[in-house]
Amino acid sequence: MSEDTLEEDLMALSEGIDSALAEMCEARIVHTYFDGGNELDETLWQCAAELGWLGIGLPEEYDGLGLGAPGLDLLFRALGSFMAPGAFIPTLSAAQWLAESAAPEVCQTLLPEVVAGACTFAVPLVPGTAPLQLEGSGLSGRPPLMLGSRSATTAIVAIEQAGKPGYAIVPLAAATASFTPTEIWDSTRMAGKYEFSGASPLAVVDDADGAATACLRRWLALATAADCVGGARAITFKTVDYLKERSQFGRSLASLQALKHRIAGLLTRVIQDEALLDQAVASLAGSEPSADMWMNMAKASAGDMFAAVAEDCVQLHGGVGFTWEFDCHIYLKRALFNREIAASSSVLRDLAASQFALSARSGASTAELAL
Amino acid sequence: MILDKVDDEAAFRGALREWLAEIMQADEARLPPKNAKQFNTNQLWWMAERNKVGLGTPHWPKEYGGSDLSLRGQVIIAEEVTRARAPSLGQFTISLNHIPATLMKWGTEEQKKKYLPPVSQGTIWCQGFSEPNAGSDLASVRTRAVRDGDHYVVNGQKIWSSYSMYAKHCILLTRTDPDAPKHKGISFFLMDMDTPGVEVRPLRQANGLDKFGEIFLTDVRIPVENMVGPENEGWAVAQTTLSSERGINSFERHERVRYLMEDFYAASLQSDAAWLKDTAMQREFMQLFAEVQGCRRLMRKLLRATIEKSPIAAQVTPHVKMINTDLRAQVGDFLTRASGPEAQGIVAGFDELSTDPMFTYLTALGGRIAGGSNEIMRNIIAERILQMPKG
Repeated sequence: MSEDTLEEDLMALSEGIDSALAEMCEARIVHTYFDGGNELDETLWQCAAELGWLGIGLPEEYDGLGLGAPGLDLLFRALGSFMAPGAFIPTLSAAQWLAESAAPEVCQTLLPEVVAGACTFAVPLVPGTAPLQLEGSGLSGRPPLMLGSRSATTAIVAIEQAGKPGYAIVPLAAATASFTPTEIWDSTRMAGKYEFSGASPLAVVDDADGAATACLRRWLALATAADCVGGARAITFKTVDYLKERSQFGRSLASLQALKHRIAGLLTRVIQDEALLDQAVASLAGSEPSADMWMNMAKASAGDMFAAVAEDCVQLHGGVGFTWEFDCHIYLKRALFNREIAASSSVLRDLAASQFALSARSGASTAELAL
Repeated sequence: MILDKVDDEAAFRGALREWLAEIMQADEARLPPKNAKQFNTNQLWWMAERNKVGLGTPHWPKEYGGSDLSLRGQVIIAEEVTRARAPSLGQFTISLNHIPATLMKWGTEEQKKKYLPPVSQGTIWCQGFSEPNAGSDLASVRTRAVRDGDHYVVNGQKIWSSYSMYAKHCILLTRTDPDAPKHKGISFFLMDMDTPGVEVRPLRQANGLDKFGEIFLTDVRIPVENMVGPENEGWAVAQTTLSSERGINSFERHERVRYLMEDFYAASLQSDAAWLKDTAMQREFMQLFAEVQGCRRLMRKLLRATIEKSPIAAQVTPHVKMINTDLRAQVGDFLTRASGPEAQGIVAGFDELSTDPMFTYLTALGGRIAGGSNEIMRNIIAERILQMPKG
């Protein structure tokens, strides 16, 4: 696909995504969902399946739209902007991971199901940690906190088999996997703990060279970073609207220079991280060797930025920013949860630093840019 | 000629690289200037060398000594010049950008013919806009011009005029009608710096350089034909001057930050610098390097928007100005700390290629103030982009 066609496809898709989300995830509806008052996650999931969002990044051979990293970037910025609930991050990241890491027949079994909305994933919140032993009797034990819901159909679990690291792709059957949801602060997301007792994997992906871990981290980082910049932009603009509405001392709060300058600073930070994510997405789409370095940095930076921006938006709203009714706390909680996904900011920066050092030692630059 | 190849990007870059590799062997390129005077000499040498190969004023119309080079072509030149660690044309900023922008729109044919072609021969212009009491509030200029026959007689004081001590001409904002509202009584002049009554005093900056000058004007007689635009409409002319296409300048300056960081890292590897073993410093380096890369992307986006005449350009500009000037200061600060006590010694090299961390840092502080301070940028973002009401 040529770059121009890709750009046009993305533009057309973007408008559709935004208008669907504006209707389905109107703030009141999200708040009601947050308090357990509707099943927005499920209705949104069905809508996403119907509109093709679930296959946005997947190759066309698996019924996907073939838009890769740029497509996922666009979708997750929009989902983040509207505080959309649902298992998008684990499922879409796992699907990309499968397409790159698993055998074609496994992909053929699972990925069209993902696109149709029938297969959702539970994945490690932080890939590459605390593997379970996979033995002849199957998979048993309790992996660390996983991203995913009660309705997840398949889990990706870090394992060790005969001393070798890998990932098991495990169909979640009631008899061999029990799920205990964790009540998390960000109720727009779902996470919990699994206990496996003799579960038999559909397939195992080898990770002797760490490539499978890197791949899963990469797609989780992309989805999460995009959610961060989308969320940060949205709450910044909502805060601008609120400042324009609110008057004190007989004048609009939006006319106060101290607040204007704060807002300008927030927007500048958002734009900075959007540009860094653009860099990561472009290098990933171009299969550049530095793609993982940029993605690690983009996620670390966007995670920290979103948390800081959301926190300041609480303050800029004043008293109502601290209430359950306004949007600020939902964005803030999503930001804090996002910060933990894929890996912490420090771990991601350390990974990026080693990647940078490697290329610097070899005399290669990681910073080449086309015009 | 290098410019003949402009339509074939690879060939154009190849020709530029070949020329740059050769020219960078010259003493002027290898030995960094130790003071403002040497910087001035170096700049004149660099303009002369560029002019020899048609790269003096390539972006100007052909009839005034240029080659009609597209913005895209200018970007490629800036990329290759910075890649070669070759000098900027900093001393010619006003000559190369403000003068053509202003004269193309407002100048008479005589003014264009007289003033544009000599720039590629090394003519330096300076800007006499700011005054001690007219900084961010530029429209309150008080320097007075009074008509006297076929001349105007000018009295007043200008400040922050870069390279005014080397300049041959000055673009000057004066008040011609003190009774009109402040934006309506301003006139715009071209002034010869050797006119009697013009006195320049260098202003030393925090980074040790004296590139700024104060210009004192006492009964300076400027011929009426040196006015640009109609009398009392100088504010509109000045808007053209100030919005001249300088995107390429900040683009070039920011490209240098990339090489500054990459070169610093390579040197640190060579010397097995202590900061490489400090995890917190490494994380900080990565964060800055990533932000610099993001900013380089933003710069390209801005230039593309400018080429396509997209309204996005106006939306991005104030953010880019804030981001790139903040980043330069942060990088300078980082390099200073990463270099430890060594960086407290003056290393030399007083230009944009300097590897003295303190010089880099101190110079960058000026970037946050110049060209519309970052506080003014925040006002623009809030009021023009976000439509927040004026206070």
